[in-house]
Amino acid sequence: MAQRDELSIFVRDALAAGKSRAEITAALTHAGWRSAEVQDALNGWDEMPFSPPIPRPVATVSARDFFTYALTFCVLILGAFNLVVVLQALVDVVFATGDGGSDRSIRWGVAVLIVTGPMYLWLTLRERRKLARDPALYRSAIRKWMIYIGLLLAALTMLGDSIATIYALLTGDLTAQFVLKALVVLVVAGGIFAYYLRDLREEAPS
Amino acid sequence: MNKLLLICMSVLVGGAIIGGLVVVGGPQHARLAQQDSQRLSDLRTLHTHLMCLGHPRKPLPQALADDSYCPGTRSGLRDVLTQGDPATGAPYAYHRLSDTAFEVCATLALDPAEARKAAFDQDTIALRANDTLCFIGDRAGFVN
Repeated sequence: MAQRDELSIFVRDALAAGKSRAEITAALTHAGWRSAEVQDALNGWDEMPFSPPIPRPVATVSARDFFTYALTFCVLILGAFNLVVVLQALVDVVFATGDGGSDRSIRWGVAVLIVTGPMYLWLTLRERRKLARDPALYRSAIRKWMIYIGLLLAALTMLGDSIATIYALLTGDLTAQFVLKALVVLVVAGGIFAYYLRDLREEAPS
Repeated sequence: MNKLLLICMSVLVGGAIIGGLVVVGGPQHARLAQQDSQRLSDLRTLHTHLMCLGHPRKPLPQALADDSYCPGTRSGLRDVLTQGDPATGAPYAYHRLSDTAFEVCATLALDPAEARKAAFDQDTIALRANDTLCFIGDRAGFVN
């Protein structure tokens, strides 16, 4: 936890010298550290009296995690984008405004989905199994970052979607076709957002 | 909850794949559609050649293979004349109706009415029988 090295080293030395946590807190507060920072620094070391102090596990960064999560992330983005393309083209077909060009984009989108769909499912289920077996993976910093970037992109997409809808409403272009297409974007982005938000919540016990 | 979301999304993706394939048709259908669009483009080349706009008017050729009819003609013409129909290789049907009027025809694999509806030059296209599409032209209306 303690990224501030000076603070972390001080706490370790103080604990090693046999000072109590209350004494350390008082000293650090006197020096101007905020209580949250002090708490973080103390939490970096286990409560059990032992010399030298026992470090608690910290966030990890590994190249293998980067490979797995970046791959999952790219597959997800590619798949989500093409899912929207295909569904919107299908909406056009339902409203009979599809032209020759939509056939091409549907074929491309379907090709992407046939590859990315099973791939994403496999990567995700594999990660679930690994997490269940080895909860240390929850501490992967890369996993957290990828999830938060995914949440950010999903949130931005929903934001843009609602803005486009409001704009269409104001310009009088809000047809049933437009609403359906906006709904497609909302469902896909919203689904991804909800999924990863639950993912973060579920791991709460750290 | 998350399992449910994952299942819903998988169903959505599966639905999109199946729906997409139903709309655009399978590989066989795509191949036929590609052949048909090749036929249409070939007929357009022939039509342009026979209309020969911008050149002094002379009687239409007796046979399609006479590519000296219109000087400075489009580069793709020779390919169309030598390769013929993309599926059978047979030359396209050329009907000389008079010294100025003609039609060039091809037998399509898919519904020609659909092809005509999707074309940008519908008024030069006529349907014959139920699988044949013709480009019709008449030089009489043009001044030169």
